Amino acid sequence: MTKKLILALTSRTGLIAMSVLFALLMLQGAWDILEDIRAIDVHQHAMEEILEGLGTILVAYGVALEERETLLKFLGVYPDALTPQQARVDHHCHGYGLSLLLLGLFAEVSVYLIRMPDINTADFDPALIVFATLLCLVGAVHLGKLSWLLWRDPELATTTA
Amino acid sequence: MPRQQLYRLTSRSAIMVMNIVITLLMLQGSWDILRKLSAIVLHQPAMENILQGLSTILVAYGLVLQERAALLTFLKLYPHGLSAHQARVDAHCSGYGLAVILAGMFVSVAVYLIRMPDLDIVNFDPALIVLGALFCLVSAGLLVRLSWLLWRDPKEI
Repeated sequence: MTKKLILALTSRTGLIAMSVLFALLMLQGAWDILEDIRAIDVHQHAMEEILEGLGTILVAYGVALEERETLLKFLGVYPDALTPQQARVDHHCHGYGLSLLLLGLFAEVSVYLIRMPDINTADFDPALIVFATLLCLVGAVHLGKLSWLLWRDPELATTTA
Repeated sequence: MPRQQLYRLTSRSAIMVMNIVITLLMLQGSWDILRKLSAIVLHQPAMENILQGLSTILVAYGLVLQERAALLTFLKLYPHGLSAHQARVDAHCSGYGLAVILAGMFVSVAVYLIRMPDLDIVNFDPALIVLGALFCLVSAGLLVRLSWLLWRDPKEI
């Protein structure tokens, strides 16, 4: 029962659902920031909070994706359930997980560059906010591409979905 | 630092001591949050700060555990000091380290979901705080289990 639940949560369907949800969160956050970018003086603090949150989500989800294989081994699901299809999912998740992790970290770094009082970046604050927002949008694109790669895998549909 | 001292710092006894200290921190933090839950309106920022601190500790410690083998190789204690017993400790630490990292990350995500002003989830703030505290308790359980696994291993380093 537990193994079935874990397999369902880490299945292609589960991953696609989570990826789409997070991609939508990225798009909504980025839209919220870019919409108010002209009034950055008023909204800068809120924008930083949004970017920090999105960065943390990207890092957490990126680590979970990147380490899918190790996690399934740790939970006792592998090697029994390790099929060529699962290996392909692991392969996709590892690469895209790492890229999401890096994008999230760089988005967080941009926010902390703004916040660090010893670095006078006041003139570049809008540029850093836009840069971090773009990283979140790239994260959304990567999540979309990962969903597409998982979805198009024909053999998986009959085994794990 | 002398090799003997590095071995002691990364031994199963040292890891068990650290696990117990961090477990107590998790229990104390979670208790502090859960007992004031009825007055969340007054204490919410403090609760968020506690959860953020605990999540940072979990991620940092989880990373050290997960990468124990790489760290010992970097410190040149491996491959010379790599025994079957050390390999078992590495295997335990790697799995539990990853689980602790993920739990810490999810605590952090719960806090940031509350703080993000573009998400109107004020009604769910108490649920997210409780979820964060539960992840801390799960991590405490994982650290206790890791200590048990290391303790029952017959050969001390």
